[in-house]
Amino acid sequence: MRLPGPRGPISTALFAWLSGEPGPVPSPLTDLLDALPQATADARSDEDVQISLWVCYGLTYEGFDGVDERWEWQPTLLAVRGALEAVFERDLLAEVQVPADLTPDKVPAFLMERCGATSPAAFLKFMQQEATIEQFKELVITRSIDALHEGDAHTWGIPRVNGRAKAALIEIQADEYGGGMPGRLHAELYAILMSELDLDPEYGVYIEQIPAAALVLHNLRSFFGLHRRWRGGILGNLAATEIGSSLINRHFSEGLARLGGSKKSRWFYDEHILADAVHEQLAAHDMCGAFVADYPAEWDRVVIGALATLSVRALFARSVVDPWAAGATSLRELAPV
Amino acid sequence: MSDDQPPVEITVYENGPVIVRGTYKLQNSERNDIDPGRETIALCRCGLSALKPFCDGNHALRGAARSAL
Repeated sequence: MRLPGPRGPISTALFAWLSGEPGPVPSPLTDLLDALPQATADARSDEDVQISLWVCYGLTYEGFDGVDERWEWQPTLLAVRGALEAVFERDLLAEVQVPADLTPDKVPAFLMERCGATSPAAFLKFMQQEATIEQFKELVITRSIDALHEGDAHTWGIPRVNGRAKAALIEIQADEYGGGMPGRLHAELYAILMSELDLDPEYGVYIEQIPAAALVLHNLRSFFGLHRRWRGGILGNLAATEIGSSLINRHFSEGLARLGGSKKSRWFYDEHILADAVHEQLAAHDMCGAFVADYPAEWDRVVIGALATLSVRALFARSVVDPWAAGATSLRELAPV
Repeated sequence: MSDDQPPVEITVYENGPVIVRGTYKLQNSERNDIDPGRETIALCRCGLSALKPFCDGNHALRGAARSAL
């Protein structure tokens, strides 16, 4: 995968720096990062911040052609990533409030209630009943940056928790990875969906067209997954992803069937209808319920993780629905070659 | 199946399905096998699933009435 094109001054400086040998942070980049807390109003939807974070995290997933592998653990790179993460975390937390009357024992029921109820119903109905095949393909493209790595960021949570929460997390993750059967991994089912829709399933191919509001879905998981202090957050993120997912995927599957999509193309969605009916129970009760009981000092991190996930998901839904309502594309326009 | 095999675990989730774990065989009333598709399965207990015997999350549509489950 090649480095994507920059989307602002930070990514311009960052990507140029990454194309060379690992070394000290160039001073223009330091200045830009120093100014970033004032320069961005919401890092969650800032194209320059999100593409820069996606590349920083990408070093720990697949890396990039022509980028020295040693950058992954280069302290100067981690310092840059940390500066980006500081504003990202600030803006995530600004959107989230743990209810004052919530107590750890009520967390599983709270998650089921809140995460199940906040599916953007109008958006789902539109996908089910009205979306064109072009709009459906747009959605598949934008979600690909997250779905082709489904489960991976949550796997980083496994060594960071113990006991019942770990067992439940592994039970879910085993299913995400198709029970260990090649070809059944959920990420592979997504690749099949893309191929069936005549899209390219290679990771990162569509990166230039994918807006910050979709990158943030993946960056949020990577942020939680790569920081032990946010181990509760990665569990909350997984719970928010699983709860209500059966209904979401049924809408997508029925929408694709309406558009003539083959059974094979709908496999990804149909698999999630059944799998996530299991996962949502395991995630809320066995995983998060056990974590808040066994790690009482960190119980609110689970809730923050789930609520932050819902907030970026709402951001994503708006980034798709608003341009469509205006008769436009939800994808970023490609620069003329 | 050896004698020391742990028993099948059947867990009833509040306002949710029955989750089955362990070594089990799933059949319809004609005793024909049903492929569970995964190791841990969720069986519908509210009657609203479109994919019975499995849970498909439809119980969530029941709204306030679900507290009776």
